Amino acid sequence: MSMDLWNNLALGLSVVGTWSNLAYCFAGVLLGTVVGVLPGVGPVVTIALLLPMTFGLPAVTAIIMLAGIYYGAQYGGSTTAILMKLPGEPSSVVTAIDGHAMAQRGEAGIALGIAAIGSFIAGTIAAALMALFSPTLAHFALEFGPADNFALMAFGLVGAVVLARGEPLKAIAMVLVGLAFGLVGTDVASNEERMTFGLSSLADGISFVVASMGLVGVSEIIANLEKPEGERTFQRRIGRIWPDRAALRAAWKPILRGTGIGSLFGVLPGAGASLASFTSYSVEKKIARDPSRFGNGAIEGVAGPESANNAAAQTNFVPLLTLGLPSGATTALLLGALTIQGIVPGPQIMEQKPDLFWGVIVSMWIGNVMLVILNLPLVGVWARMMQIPYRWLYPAILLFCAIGVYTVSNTTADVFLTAGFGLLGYVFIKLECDPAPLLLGFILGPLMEENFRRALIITQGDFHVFVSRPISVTLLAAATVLLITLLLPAIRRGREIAFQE
Amino acid sequence: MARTASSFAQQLRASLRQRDFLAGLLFLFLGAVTTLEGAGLHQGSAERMGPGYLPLRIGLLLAAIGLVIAIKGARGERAGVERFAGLPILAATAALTVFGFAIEDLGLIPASALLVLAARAISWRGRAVELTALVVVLAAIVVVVFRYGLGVPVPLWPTWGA
Amino acid sequence: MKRLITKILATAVVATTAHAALAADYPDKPVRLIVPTAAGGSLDTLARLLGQRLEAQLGQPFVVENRPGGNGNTAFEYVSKAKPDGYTLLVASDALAINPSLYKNVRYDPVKGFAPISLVTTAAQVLVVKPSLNVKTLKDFTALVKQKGKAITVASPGSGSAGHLAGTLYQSEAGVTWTHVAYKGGGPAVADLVGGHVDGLFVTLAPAVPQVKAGALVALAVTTPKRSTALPDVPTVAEAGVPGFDVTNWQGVFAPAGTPAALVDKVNGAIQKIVREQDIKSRLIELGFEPVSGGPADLGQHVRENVTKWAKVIPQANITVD
Repeated sequence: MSMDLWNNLALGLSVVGTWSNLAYCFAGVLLGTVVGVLPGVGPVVTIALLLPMTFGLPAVTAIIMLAGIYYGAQYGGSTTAILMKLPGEPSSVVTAIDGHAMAQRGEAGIALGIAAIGSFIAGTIAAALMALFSPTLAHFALEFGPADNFALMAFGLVGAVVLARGEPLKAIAMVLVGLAFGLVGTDVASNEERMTFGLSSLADGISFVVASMGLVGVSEIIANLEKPEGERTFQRRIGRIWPDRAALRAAWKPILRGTGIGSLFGVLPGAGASLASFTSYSVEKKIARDPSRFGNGAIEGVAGPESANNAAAQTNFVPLLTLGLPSGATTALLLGALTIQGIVPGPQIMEQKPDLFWGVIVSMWIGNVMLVILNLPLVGVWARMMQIPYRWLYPAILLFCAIGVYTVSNTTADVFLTAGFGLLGYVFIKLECDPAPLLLGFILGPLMEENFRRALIITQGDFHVFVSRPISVTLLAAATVLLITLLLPAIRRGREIAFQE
Repeated sequence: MARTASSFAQQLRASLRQRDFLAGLLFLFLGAVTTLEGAGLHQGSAERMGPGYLPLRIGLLLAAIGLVIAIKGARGERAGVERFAGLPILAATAALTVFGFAIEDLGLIPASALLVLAARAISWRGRAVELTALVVVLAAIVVVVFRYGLGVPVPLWPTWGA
Repeated sequence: MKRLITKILATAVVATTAHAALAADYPDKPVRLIVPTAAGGSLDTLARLLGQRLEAQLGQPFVVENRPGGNGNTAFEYVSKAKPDGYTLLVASDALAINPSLYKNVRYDPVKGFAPISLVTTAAQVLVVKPSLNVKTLKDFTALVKQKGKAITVASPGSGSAGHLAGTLYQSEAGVTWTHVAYKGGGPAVADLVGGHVDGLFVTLAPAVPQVKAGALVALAVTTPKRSTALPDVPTVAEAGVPGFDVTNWQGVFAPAGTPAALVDKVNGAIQKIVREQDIKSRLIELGFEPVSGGPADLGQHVRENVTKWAKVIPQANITVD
């Protein structure tokens, strides 16, 4: 077994490990980070824009440069999520919560450092896991049928209530609002348009980037602008740049747990990768001694999800390369780029083209290494972005946001919609409703409906499918238990109040 | 009778400043819209859901939860809601809207300039020089990065002439 | 006869020189290739491959611009109304011809709205089933569906997709009924079939062929009149039971109607050269496409035929979509 590990990794390394390839990888990480760090330009846009650069290169060189761009863009995305509270893809929604709170406290450097270190550790462990267990993992992914996918997402939604700040009832309502927004667009089963209010620009649904940039990012700008200039978030001191020993001590367990969660979820096609970081956050919050620290800058809330996200980004290559199944817009792009380089996904890719398969895996790991090498020194630079006077910064953020959103599908309607979501997000801030459960409901809602209906169409309306399949029944039971433990304190509290009266 | 009415009005006015009462109303509203939209679509059955099956039920559930939150909010001694800041809302949404209208017809440079000006309209403090510099620098960054660096296919200047 | 040919040739030469001035400068700035799907799909991949080679041929960047929405309608409408100057081109597939019969409000004309440039590739759909179904031929499968009816589930990459239409057409031609299961894309559908969660699937070759070669899926038939290069041992539906059955997917490049013929010819010439390059050819076949040659008129003819065919099949098969 361990021979396999080293043989596989050595094979991959021999394919990609030339100096010029490494230089391309470094260039990729650099470009990915620099573009990805622009506020409002999420990983999807970054990767889409940088892809053409790799087309003219030889396949192996192109792949390793892509790896660099991919990790650079993701880390750049996390950086803006932490510094500016602009989550450009599902996984950075939770990073933005505590990461930005840390940044406001003057701990931007620590948050960014932990994100980079956690990502690196997670990426390394996940790559090793893949080298050992890829065939098993591929098989595991196939076990998930529509009923199981539905159960997994139901579980994820209950988790969303855990991660929310404030009252569970409001969090449940926000999940439902997210589900409703997610349903906007064309129904997969009947191809009918719904909840589009006759607007053709809504026919394909609301893009995640639009909802998240508006609800979290633009609303934050409005909220900042109403504060007197002295109190605005961004003009704080930088504080420590490097994570100290205490930070590392608090973070290493969440990093390892996040790695485990991410490695597992990343293998699952569909919403696996975005569920990974949400789940990691919920787990950390659930087991923390003082859950109230979450949302106010808990380092575990950055370390766990960022590691989970990166581990999932690695193990996601199992369904991506063996089944051609991307887990989201970002990986779909990456898959397209790999296909152009002649990597056609299939179950035999590991046996028939081991050099390519392991070349890709090792490339991804090297991309991770490059990322740490490049970004740890840059943490200070990024953190200093916080010192730019806010009256210069916010027009810049809005401008990049507008271009970034426009570029996703080249429609101006998305820019208008972002403004609308910004307004709604601001109302939610005022009413103390946490947008994170909304966004998770938004991502999972359509997938949940799709899988629920599919499961019942396949069984011709037999509901037993949800309890007769071991995976599905386990997940649904876990979701039920979690929901009960969540609501119990609220019910008990309610009764106590009733008794006092 | 008159007294109950006026005390009701008083209580309503107090409730309107209650955060959770307003949140509940917002959920109730969103739930109602979803319900209406969902009700207009083919329903199907649980075994074979039509496109309207889930929207209708999500809408009803959301409206119900909204109602509960609103009632709890109105009765409880909860914190009030802060004032909404009109100008910042206007600045941020106007900036994005102006950009959206300008980008395809006027081109990237005018659209960027208009966005920055609209965003800064609420805080003119700072000198004209500073504002001009901000517009020029940001427009330059955007053009260099997006148009030349990344090759985003948008025109730089108005296209009607060409 | 000989004189006639000479005359035609002479006319052609005159026509060509007249347009030569216009065509010689083209393109002198980047050309936009509008793709009606999101980045990352197979049509997007084809467009990017093509864009890269067109740049090498014609010396200006061909920038891929994704305008997804309304199953392609957004992009089709956009290009049909764009300036016909050769700098806005469309890379389209079947949806261009299918959508007018499928949707009520389509605001473009697939025939009059475009100047066809070149057919690039055609592609087959393949009917694949899970091995545990224990059928090896289309006949056996059809017999099984006759026996079990709606208990048999056949997936497609989407409601109204070419795979859905091919499956529906087959059901009406073979006189059987199964349960249709719509997915969102070929990848997820293939994964669920390999996992054994559905029984069969009509899908493009790219996601299915590797699974067939690995023995994870059984290919019963391809929907084209000719066998596919990627699966030479798999019979066509026409051979295996329904004579005349033909669902051929296609991918082609279009310009807005009114684009000067000289520019159309220039791009057509470049594309024809590209699909003959050995490297590109093998890459395309690997992706499940069959490179084809032909002039602008061939593409126009092809689109007209497809529009007529779907306008007949879709109402018959009772597929309606809003």
